[in-house]
Amino acid sequence: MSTVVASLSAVDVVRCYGTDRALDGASLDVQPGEVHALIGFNGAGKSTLMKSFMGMSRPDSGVVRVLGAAVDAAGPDVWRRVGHMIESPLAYPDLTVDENLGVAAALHLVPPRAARVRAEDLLTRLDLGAWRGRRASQLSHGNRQRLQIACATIGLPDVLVLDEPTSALDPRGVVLVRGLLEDARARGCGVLVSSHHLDEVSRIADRISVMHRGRLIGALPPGGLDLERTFFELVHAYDTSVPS
Amino acid sequence: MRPATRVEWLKLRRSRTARATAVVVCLSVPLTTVGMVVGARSGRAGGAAAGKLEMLTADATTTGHLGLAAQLLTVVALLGGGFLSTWVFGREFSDGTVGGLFALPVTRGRIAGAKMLLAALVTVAMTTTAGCLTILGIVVIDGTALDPDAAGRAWALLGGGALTSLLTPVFGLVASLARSYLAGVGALIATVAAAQLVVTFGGGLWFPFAVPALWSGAGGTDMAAAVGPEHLATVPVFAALVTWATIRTWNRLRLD
Repeated sequence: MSTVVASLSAVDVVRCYGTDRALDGASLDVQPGEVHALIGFNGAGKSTLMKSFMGMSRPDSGVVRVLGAAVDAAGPDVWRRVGHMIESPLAYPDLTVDENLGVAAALHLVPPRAARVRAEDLLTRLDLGAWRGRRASQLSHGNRQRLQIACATIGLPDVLVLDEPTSALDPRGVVLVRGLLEDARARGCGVLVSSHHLDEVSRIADRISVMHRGRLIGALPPGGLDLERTFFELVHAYDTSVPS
Repeated sequence: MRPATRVEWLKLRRSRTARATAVVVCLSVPLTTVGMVVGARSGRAGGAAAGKLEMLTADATTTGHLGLAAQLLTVVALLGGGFLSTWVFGREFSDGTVGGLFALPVTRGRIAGAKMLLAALVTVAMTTTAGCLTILGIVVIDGTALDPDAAGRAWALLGGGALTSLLTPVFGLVASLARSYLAGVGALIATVAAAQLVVTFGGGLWFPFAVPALWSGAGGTDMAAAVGPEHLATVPVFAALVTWATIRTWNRLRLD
């Protein structure tokens, strides 16, 4: 009998900055073929948790795994199956859109011919073709974010971690990115995405977890009505039961 | 070419900062050297400049002019190569692209190694170009072919530039540790000043940043003759330590 390995899993993760507990026993998993949304206030610990998965932050305690491998021990075979966009993107201002995609493909060890095919596909799907010869520094904020998402997905990852991927996008850009995430899910990719837009995550996510004060404190029903109210009730209930 | 090297080469080629640095390094040394010699000969320089020119060009032979060029080239190689090195590492932090270098099958250590290798090679190419142009300029203004002694000085000039290039990755390490290219620039300025002081107080033969300049004749022919293999060895030993420390720093880097 085979067991499915989680795309991402975190168990009792703690990360402190001085006396501030950015992660206070956070536990979360993302299964293959699932979009798991993470919502919470600024400073709730969403980015820190995502950075722990990508090896950018080392937890003080707890276990963090990517595709079954401990993050510290994960090698090239694991990381070539991972794409991410967390805070700082892989898009160089001096390079054109085409060149940035080439850089991302090379660093994900995508063979050159496959990289060209995927780059063409992403340029079309994210409507970036008109700007392919432009330097990234000359793009609008929204188009730069589309480029960053294209760079994160050019390796056809099995795991995708996106921190606020639509924060700078117009409604059309949001729809394009949503289509990309739906396709990723359809081919079995496990997606962890953070957002402040409850309506947006409600449309795409299979699970919605609420993060607050470094912990996962509950879940919201995807597609449910009045998510904002439920979210605030969860947060209020937690603050009442666990005073800071 | 390995992916990390291919990517870093593209980034370096496209960087306007790197292009501007290359132009400054390649042209500043020959133009300044030839300009100083011509200025001293003309006798038209006045005030403080006249005194400096007279002092710097006191040895009016071709060998003396090559010694003057060595002083300039080794300092410019350190400044230009150091700036290039601090930029290729520091830009990842200032451009906010460093996070994209995590969670990749190409390790950050390999990426850092490629950055160091390319920055050093480009610096060698820049200083060699500047050195060749300078030697050509000196031959033209002196109007004579290089005699064996001067030819030896010319080779030492090129070697001094190349050796200095091997020292410049340390400023990339400083930029990486401080996560800012400005810190690398600060360390660069401090190092140039420290080299002057160390030489003044007689410790230059064991100070890696002064050895290439002394060997190439910046301190005169007697000082150049005093530079032995053991002194020259301080440069590759220092470069090897910096390489190890930089790769280790990038492999252990966290963005907390």
